[in-house]
Amino acid sequence: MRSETKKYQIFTRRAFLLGAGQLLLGGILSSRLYYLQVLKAKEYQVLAEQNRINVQILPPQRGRIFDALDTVLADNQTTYRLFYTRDLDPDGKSLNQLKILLNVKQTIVDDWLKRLKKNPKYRPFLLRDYLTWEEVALLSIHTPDLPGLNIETNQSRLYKASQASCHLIGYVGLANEQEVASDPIATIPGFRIGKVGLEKTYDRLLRGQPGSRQTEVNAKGRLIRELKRQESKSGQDLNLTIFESVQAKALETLRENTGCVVVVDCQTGAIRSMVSKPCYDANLFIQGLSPGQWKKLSTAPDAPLKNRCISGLYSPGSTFKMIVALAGFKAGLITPRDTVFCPGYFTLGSHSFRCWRHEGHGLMNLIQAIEHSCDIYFYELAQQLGISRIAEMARLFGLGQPQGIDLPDEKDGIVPDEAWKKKTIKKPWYPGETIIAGIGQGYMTTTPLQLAMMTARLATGQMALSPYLATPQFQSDIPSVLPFAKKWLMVIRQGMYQVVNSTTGTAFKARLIHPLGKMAGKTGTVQVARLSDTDKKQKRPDRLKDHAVFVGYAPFDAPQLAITVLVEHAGSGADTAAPIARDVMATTLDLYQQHNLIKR
Amino acid sequence: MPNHDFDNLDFFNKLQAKLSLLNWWFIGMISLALGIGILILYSAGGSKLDPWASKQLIRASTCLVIMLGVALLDTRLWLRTAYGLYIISLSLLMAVELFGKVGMGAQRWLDFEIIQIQPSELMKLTLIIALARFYHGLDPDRIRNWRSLIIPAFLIGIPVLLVLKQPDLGTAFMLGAGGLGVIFLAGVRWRVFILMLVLVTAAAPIAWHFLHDYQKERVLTFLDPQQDPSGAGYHIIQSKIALGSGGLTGRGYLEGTQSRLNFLPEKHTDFIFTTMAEEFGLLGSLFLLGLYLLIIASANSMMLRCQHSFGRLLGIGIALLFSLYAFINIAMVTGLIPVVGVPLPLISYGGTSMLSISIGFGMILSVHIHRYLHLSRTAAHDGVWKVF
Repeated sequence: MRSETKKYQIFTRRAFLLGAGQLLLGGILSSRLYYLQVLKAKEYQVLAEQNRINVQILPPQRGRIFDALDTVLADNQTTYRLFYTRDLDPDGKSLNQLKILLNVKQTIVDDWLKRLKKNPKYRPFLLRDYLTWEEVALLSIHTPDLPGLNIETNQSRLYKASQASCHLIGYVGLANEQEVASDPIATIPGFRIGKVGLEKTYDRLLRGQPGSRQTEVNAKGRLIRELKRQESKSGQDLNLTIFESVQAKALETLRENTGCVVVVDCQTGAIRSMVSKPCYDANLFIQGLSPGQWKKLSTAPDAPLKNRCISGLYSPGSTFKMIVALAGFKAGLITPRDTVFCPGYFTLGSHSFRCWRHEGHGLMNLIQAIEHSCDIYFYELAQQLGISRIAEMARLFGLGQPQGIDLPDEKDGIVPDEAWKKKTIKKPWYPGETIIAGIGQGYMTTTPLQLAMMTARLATGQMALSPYLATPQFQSDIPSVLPFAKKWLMVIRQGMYQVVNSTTGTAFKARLIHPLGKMAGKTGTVQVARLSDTDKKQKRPDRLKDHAVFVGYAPFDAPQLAITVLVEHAGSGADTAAPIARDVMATTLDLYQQHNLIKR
Repeated sequence: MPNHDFDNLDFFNKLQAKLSLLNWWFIGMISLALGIGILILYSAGGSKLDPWASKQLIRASTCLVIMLGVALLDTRLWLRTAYGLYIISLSLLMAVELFGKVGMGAQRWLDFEIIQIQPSELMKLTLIIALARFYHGLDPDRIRNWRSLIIPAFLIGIPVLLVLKQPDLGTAFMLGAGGLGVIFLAGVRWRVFILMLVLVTAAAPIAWHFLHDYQKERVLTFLDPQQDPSGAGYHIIQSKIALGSGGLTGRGYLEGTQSRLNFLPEKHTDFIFTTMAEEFGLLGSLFLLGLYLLIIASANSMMLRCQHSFGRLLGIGIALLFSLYAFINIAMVTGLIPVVGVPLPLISYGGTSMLSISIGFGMILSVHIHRYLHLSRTAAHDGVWKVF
C-alpha cells in the first residue's frame, strides 16, 4: 500500500506541474490572441477589407459630336473585349482552344503566356480588344470548352462623318506621360482623351465624369455582389456649326487635288465648312495604328495629318491687293478715280517687276485694277506706301495672327516689316521687298482661315469678327470702329464684284448664279518658286507649280458667307480655285435658304 | 459512503448508481463545446445547415451517446484489453502503410467503403491506455529503473515512427508528447527527460534533412509567410488577417467576411477557430480557450480523486491529448507554429477526432465513476472480466 501512496504523491506533484504547464500555454495563447485581435486589429481590418472589396472605375460615355443639322459626326459604339482569368482554367486548355477557334498565331499565344506569368491568377487579363461580332458569336457557342474566358463590353469612339471632317473632329487616343501628369483621370486603364482637333479642344466637356463601383469579391476574384455604385456622368454632346453635306461637297469638288476650303458666316463667325485634303480615316486611330501605318501617315510628303486651313502657311498672292488698296485709301494716296498706267512691267533700280499680263493692262483705276488683278498698279501703290503702312493694314485685318478658332495648332503666319526682318533674318529691309509685298508675295504668309476672315471683314466691315466651330470664342481685341471711311470699303467691294461678275473679270467663268444673289471675290496665284519664262514654258515638276487661291463672299448685297479656296500646285486661281468656291458657296447658300439661316 | 461496489448490483440499479455518479458539469461543458462547433459550422456553411452543420449535429449527438456508453462501462475492461487494443491499432496503422488511401497529400486513411478509419487517431488513445496499464503494474522503484523504460520506448516509438512515415508531423508529435506525458506522470526520473531534450535538440538538424519537401517548406513558410503569399504562406496569412480583423468583439455572428468569401481555406476544419474568432472577436477566442482550459482542469481534478494508478494515468493522459489538440491548433492558426494539420477538438468538422476524444472522455468519466475502486497492481491478470 505504501507504494501506492508514494505513486499517488509522485503523481499529484507532477500532475500539478503539468497543470501549471497547461495553464502557462493557455496564457501564451491568450496573449498571442490579444496581440492579433487587439493590438494588430486595425491593421488586419484594413487587409481584410482589401481582400473583399474591389473598386472598379466606370468609364463615362463620351459626348457625341453633331453638325449644325444634327447629323452625327462622332458617336460611340459598343466593342467587345476578351478577358482570361488563369485561376478559372487550372488545366490551361483554353488558350489552345482559342488558338484553334480564332486562328491565332503561335507567336501571339506565346506572348500571351509570357505576359500572363506576371499577372495574378485571379485577375482578368485582356487578351484581345475589338472582337468582331462573328468572333463573339463563335466564342459564345464554345463557352463550355473555354473556362476562364470572358467577354466584356466596352464603349469605343466611332467616327461616322465623312473623311472630310477628319481634321476638324480629330480623334481620341491613350494619354501619354505628359498628358497623364496634368490629368489624373487619364490613368484609368484604356481611358481615351482627345488628341487632336475638336476632340482635344472640348475634351473636358465631351469626356463626362467617371463613376465607380464597389464590389464584394471572394478569394477567386469572382463577383459576389455590388456594394456601392456611383454612375458615371456622360459627357456633353457637342453641336458644331459646320454642315456635313458641305464638307462632303467641298471634298468632292477638290477632286484629286490637295488643298483646302474654308467657309465662314461673316455675320457671326461660325465656320460652315472646313476641309483640308488629303484626309485620313480617324477610325484607324481608335483601334490603334501599327507603327508602320503611323509612319506612313506622319511622313507622307502630302502631309495628310495637317489641317491646311489653320496650319498651312501660304503667301496670299493677289488676294492681298484689297488690303494694299485700303492702306492706300487710308494714307490718302489714292482715290477711286486715280489711274495708273500698266505697261506690263515696273522698274525699280536695275530690276524689272513684271505684271502677270506681259503686254500690260493700260490705264487702270482701282476697281479695274482689282478686276483685272493688275500687278503694276499695286507695285506703284506699295512703293508709295512703304512696308510699315502695308503691314499695319494687314494686321488690322487679322493677317499674321491666330484667329482664335477653337482648334489646337492654329498657326499665325508672318506679316513682315523692317523690324521683323531685322529681328528674324537679321538683315535690313530691301525696297524690292515692299514692291512684291504689294501683290502679296515675299515673306508674307497667311493661313487660309486668315484669308477667309479677312474677306468676311471686308464684306461686312465687322473687324472684330471671330471664327468658331462650336462655341463663340472670345473676341479678339481688334477695334470694331473702322479706322477708315466706309465708302472706301464699298469701292473695294465693287472691285471684288467685278472680278467675278464682269465679263472681263479674272473669275468670270466661276460666277455664281443663285437666287440669293451674286458672289464677289478675288483670285490669286501664289508663287511657290521663282522661275524664268523658259522654265515656265517647259514642263516643270508639280511641286514647283503655283498655288491657286480664291477668296469670295456672297450674297453681294447682304453678305452671309465668306469663302477661301486654296488648291496646291494648280496654277491659275481663276481656273481651279474659283469654280470650287462657286460650287461650295452654292451648296451652302442652298442650306441657308432651306433652314432659314439668313441674317438680315 | 456511497456504495461503489457495483459488482453486487443488478443491471438497473447499477445503471442508476453509475448515472448518479456521472459528472454532469463535465458533460455539460463538452456539450457546450460541441454546440459551439455546430453554430460556427452553420456560419461557415454560409448560414446554412448544409453541408456541415447538420452532419456535425448528427455526429455530435452520436458521440455524446457513445461517450455516455463508454462512461458506463467498467474501467477494468480497459485495463484488461489495453494491450489487445494497442496491438489492433498498431496493426491498422501498419495496414495504412501498406494499403492506405492517400488523402490531402498524406497516407492516413483506410477506406472500408462504408466508413473511413484513421488509425492514427485510434493509436493516440490506445497508446495512453497501454502505457497506463504498464505503469499501473509497476512499483515506484521499478519505475525509476531505466530498464523499465525499454518497453515504453517501443510502445511509443513504433507508432511514432510509423506515423512519421505517413507523413504526419502533427500526430507524431501528439503521440510522442502524450506518451511522454504519461511516463512523466507515472514517475519516471527527471534526468530521462532532460537527456531526451538534449538529444532532440542535437538531432534537430539531422531530422531536418529527413523532412519531406513540403514539410520543409511548411517550416520556412511559417518563419516568413510573405515569401509565398499565394501559395504555402496563404493559410497563415489569411488566418491572421481573419483573426485580427475580428477585433475585440468580432464582426458578429454570420458576418465573417473572410471565411464566408472563401479567403480562409479549411475554414471548417483546421482553421475553424479563426472562423469563430473573426465573428466573435477576442472575447469569443478567450471564451473558447477558457472553456477548453476548464474542461482540462476538470478532467485533471477528477483524476486526482482516483484511487488507482491506471485510472489516473489514463485520465490525465487523455486530458493531456485533448489539451495538445487545442493548443497545437490554436497556436497554428495564430501563426505561432507551422501548419501541421491538427484539428480543433470537438469543434472541427470531421468524425474521427471527435470520436476518439469522445471515447477518451467517456473513459475519463468511467474512471470518475469507478474512482473508489481498488485495483491491485496485478488486477489486470486476475481473470475477472467485468464489462459493465
